[in-house]
Amino acid sequence: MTLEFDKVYHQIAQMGSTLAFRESAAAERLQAVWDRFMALNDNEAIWEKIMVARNHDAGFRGAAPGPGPLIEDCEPFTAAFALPPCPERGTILAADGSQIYPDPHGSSLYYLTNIAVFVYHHGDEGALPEPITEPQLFYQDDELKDREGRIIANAAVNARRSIFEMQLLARETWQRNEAAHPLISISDGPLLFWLGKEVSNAAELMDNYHEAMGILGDLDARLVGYVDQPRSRFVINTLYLMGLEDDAITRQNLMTTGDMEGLDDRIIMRHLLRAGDRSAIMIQQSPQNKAFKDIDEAREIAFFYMNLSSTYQDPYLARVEIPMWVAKNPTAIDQVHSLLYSQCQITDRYPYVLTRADECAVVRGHEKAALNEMIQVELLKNQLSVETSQKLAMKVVSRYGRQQHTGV
Amino acid sequence: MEEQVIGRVLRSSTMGFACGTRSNEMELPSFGAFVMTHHYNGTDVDVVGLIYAIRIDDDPLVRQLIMANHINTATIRDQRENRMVPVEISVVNVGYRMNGESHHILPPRPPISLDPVYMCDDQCVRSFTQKFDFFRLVLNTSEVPNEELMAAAIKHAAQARPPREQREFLVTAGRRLAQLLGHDLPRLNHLLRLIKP
Repeated sequence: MTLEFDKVYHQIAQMGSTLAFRESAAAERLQAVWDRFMALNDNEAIWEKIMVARNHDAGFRGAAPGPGPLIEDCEPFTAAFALPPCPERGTILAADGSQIYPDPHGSSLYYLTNIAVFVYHHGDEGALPEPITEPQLFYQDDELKDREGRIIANAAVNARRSIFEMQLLARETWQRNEAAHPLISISDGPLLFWLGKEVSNAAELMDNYHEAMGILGDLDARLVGYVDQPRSRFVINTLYLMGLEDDAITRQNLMTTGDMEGLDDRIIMRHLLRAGDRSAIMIQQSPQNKAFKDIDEAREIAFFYMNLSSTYQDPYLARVEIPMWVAKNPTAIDQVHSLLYSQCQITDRYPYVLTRADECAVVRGHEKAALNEMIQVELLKNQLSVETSQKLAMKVVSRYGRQQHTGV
Repeated sequence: MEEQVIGRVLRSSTMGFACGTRSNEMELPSFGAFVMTHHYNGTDVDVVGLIYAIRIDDDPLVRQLIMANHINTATIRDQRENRMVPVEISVVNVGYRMNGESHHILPPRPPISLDPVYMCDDQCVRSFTQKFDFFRLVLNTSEVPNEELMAAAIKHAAQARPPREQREFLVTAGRRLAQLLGHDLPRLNHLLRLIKP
């Protein structure tokens, strides 16, 4: 059977009305939230409250004014910064990756990562942009199985792919140290990276990640983690924290955001940021970020929000994560701000370099099928039997050309 | 023969074939040009055809770039030179060459997928167009713009000859067309205007 739309239609209608109600409810709350946000004009008071939360070990996950370290070095929390002039020249690199997960039903057990870095020479119209791809096939037992001999989880493949992305980004940036500066190195997604328990060699992988970050830091590259359409609640969490008495700042209380439950930072930022604006630099409060800072203070992750839309469009937000070596350099911030906006004008609110990096990295279904075929041919050439899963074969049979028999 | 590969066969039949190429490799093929595929199956057979359509499909990214309206030279070069924008060239078969002889009938078998497709050089075009028997094939082929294709092919064939021979070739081709289209004067008139030297 296929998806029976008549059975799902009423659920879709219900979903539409629920979301519309949520949106209108959020709009009603906007004024109250906005007023509370605009009252956050005392960075010292915000930091004091955050220190209370830290002392109470309350698990606060909000935003602190940045970049610091002194209060007077922090940007006004409620400020919006207009688009600065764009550098005439620069080299923008973006990394992205995709993967084929290990398939126990496939004819052979392997996984593949395909990492792409796309290099764009801003301001040099004659220079051809450079797509670089690096596919890697993993088929050895120690690459495919964990210590207990189980096939590694998809999350472990994702983790390795993310690290390869950062490594390739670092290598390609390093190779272009003589190219036009600034060097803007963009990673798709957050920079704050950590590994779950399902990743067996997590410590080694984290070392690799930090080593790559270190290379970018040594190059003074403008490293950026780009998060499109963020749904983060760091500012909302800070607003909530600021409304609590000191003795009410507990882990239990910080598990909600009270009357702002269900809201995220977009409700404020869409109102605050005009086309091209960025928010103040903020620092995410989390144990992961502390771990980054403990390794190297320059690697603590800060962020700002940006409105990537043109003047005639509705606001469109991204969260731009930057390491502290970028955050503390006002020139670097202006370069990141203006060049990202410039990129987003080419492809309409999303950086062209990331669009192309994704396109170069993605492994499409037909490419996966062709790769499987090549592997099978190679196995047969080496007198190895190609054992296909009956489950997989039947899925292919049942899904191909599915249609209802209508009789003669 | 100077071999200028313009693409490879995507799909084919005895009536014609489609070949694929990349957008940055499409300087040579033009409407009405003579192309051939080389194919061995016991005997060497060169299937000769005429290009009757060149198609470049759009894709969502190209649409997005056009809508955003901030396109620059670097982006255009990236799209044209780095991205594998597929170009599809449609060819109608008008004959074949075997053992050095040209035959103006449909080939005995179609080219095979991924066979390279070459531009016919001047010598090949001159040799193939010594006779005009392929005109009927072109004029009777459905789903192609017959008159325009016929005229373009005749002009290509004329250009493959030395300048002093071109006028005579066009006049002779026109006479052959008059024989074939004597029953359809408006069509003949249109064609003769198109190939008028």
